[in-house]
Amino acid sequence: MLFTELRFLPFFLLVFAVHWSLRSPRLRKSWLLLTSWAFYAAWDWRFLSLIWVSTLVDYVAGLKISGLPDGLQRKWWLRASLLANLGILGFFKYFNFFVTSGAELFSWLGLDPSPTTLAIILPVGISFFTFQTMSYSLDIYYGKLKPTRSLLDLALFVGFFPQLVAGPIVRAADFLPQLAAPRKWAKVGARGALLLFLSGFIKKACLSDNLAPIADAYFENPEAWTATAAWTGILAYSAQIYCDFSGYSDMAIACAALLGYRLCLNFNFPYLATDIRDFWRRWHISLSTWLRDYLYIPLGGSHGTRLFTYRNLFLTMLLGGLWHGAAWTFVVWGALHGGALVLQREWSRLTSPQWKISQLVSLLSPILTFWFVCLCWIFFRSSSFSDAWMSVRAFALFESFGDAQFGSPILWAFPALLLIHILSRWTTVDGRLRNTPDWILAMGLGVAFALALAFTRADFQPFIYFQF
Amino acid sequence: MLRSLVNVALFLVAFSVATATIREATPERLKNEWFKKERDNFEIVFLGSSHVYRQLNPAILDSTLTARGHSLRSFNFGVPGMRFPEAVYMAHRTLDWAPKNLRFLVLELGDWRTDIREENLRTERMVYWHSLPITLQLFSAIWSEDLPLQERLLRSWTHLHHMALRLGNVDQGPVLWEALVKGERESFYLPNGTLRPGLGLDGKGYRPLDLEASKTTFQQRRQEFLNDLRGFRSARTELRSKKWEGEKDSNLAAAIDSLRARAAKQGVEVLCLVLPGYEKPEGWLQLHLDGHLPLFLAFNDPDAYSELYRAKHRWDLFHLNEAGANKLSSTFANEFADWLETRDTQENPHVVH
Repeated sequence: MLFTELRFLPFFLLVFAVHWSLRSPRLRKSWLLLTSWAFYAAWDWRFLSLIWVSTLVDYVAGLKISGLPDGLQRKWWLRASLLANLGILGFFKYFNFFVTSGAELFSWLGLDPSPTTLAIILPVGISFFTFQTMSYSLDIYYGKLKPTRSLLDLALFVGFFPQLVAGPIVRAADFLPQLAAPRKWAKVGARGALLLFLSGFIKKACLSDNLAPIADAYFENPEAWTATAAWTGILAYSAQIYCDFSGYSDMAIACAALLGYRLCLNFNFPYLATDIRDFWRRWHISLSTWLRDYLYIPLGGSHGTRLFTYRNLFLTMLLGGLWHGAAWTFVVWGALHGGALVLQREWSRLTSPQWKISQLVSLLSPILTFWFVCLCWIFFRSSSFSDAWMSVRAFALFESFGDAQFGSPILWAFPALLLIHILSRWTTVDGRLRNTPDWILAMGLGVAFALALAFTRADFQPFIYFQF
Repeated sequence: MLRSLVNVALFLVAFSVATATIREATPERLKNEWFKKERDNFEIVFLGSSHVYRQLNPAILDSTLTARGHSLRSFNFGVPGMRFPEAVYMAHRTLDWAPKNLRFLVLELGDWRTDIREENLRTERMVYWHSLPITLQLFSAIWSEDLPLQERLLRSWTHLHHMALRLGNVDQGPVLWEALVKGERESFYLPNGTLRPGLGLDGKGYRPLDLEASKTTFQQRRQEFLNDLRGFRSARTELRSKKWEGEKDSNLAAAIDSLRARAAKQGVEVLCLVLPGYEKPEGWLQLHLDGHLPLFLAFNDPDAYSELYRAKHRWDLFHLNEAGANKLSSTFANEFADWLETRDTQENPHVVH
């Protein structure tokens, strides 16, 4: 079930109405849990068991880790939690990838392996809920969090439907306290939530879904297009993935807010980043902070030699790339970002901000960053390295491989998108409308939704991040 | 609480007004817009699939009817892939435009099917005809058919979904935008001054398949037909032995009745025809015998209409070529004229062989 699908409307209205009509907090949470599981089951009920296993393992592990003194046993319980979660993730997401990659390696060495791959369906949201549950056990292990004794609370933390399938990756430390305190309608910022939902809906249904055919046409056969068309296709994908994922996040945050819960910010105008480091502070914030706290810092972070820090940085981004998908193109995408972060640090170390060249680079940095991010998306989107390499040459060297062109009106979409991006950075709609009377806002929302629907495609496109 | 309810009501009102305004301002498909413009120039409108679009030539029809002393002008409103619920919707739509001189709506008869093929789900074309009355008629059919509950629910949801997409004008924004920017959705004319293909060479909506010879799909179908003439002959032989039988579908009858009742208020008669295919679907003749269709012209008889079943008059297995279309058009016009001339003297004259 997608937030932009028609069936989500009756589903959410029912959840919303029953949720706020129940008086007991426990009943409310139970209702939310049941409907969250139903939401997931609408995709494939069989994989609900994975969520249950992950929840149960971490519930027990959390209590055990907390109850034991520092020592080997405590570590074993943490390992059990990590093993269960990484085992689920590894099997469903990476089994075939590692088997085929291993077979290719053996073939390259002249051996003749006969690998067995399995027809495994990738459960929706697996990368998100396993990371969430792992952070729960890790936080308890590091003493940052007390375990919850309520299985209901933990199950709702893992399965809460707005963020279940594509994040934001919520931290237990942020969410469990919200479950402990009864939710009050008076504290719900309904106006802001509805505006945020509308904004997310427009991003996903009107922009991303309409950009998808352009990006798909280009990436399906990059050798057929001119360099200008390649730029169009690549920029279309850059806009598509941002509008798709940030649109989803906006709608998730808005739905949670309407039910009285706060989810963390996931995007903060990433294409306006001043450098690549800044980009990762703005793009998929819940993942980048997760990787920072549970991978980069445990690896040693920046507490060591320069090379040690760079290794940690690079490794973190490499694994971050692999998190997105079981393919080497994702690993290269992560490696490029990791390499860029290392280079940026090295540049800052070797140059002085007073130098003319540094000032020039700083000035050009936002454009260079955007260009580099788009270049990296090529690896993220391409189905093979040969396709990716062709697109890189078209994007970086302006080489044409074919003569197919996109219609010129499409090119106007990009300046328009950039303008909207910049304008909304400076002034949020919610802030602007703070003093608008409710009745005007209600009517405005009615008109805005009607207009947004008209620009929605009838054949809904699934969210890109569902596959991760 | 009351304030919240008022706000919700205001939201719904604004949403409804906005969607209605968008719908009114959005141009329909080109053939509809053309007909809207020319609507007062026709007395007969044909509705149906490519069987209508490719096989009924208004120029021949009109001249034959005129020669018989009936000054009637016809428009071919056929669109490839149009199934019967869509044809009924289009018939209602045609009546909405209130063409001053319209006297006959001629529909290619089809089953009142409640399923939608997977590849057609949520397409603009499917969404287009899911008006409230048609959707309700489909619901009624779904719940009276012998289907498992799960299938009933699924089909009901599918049609409800399409109706909601239609109500929300989903996918219509770009069309409206273009219309606002360009002044009209698409010109009726090509840059060389001729009418766009779908409107027909003379603006009467008909386009024979012979004019599509350069297109791969049509050429391929033609080649397949020529390569399998034995298959064509055996289908024709098989058809000869088929009989009209079976009880009428009450949902189909209800849809026709409701269309007829509405059309009658505007002085329009609804007629149905069966084009030269290979089936004699169950219950169709009974619709006529039970009085739901005063005129039921069926051309799916290889003995009575042998010319329509000759390979030289066929483009492919299911469509006539231009020569065949002209034969069918003049045959239809003559039988229609017969009916016009004898309708007051004969009781329930059915023209089925």
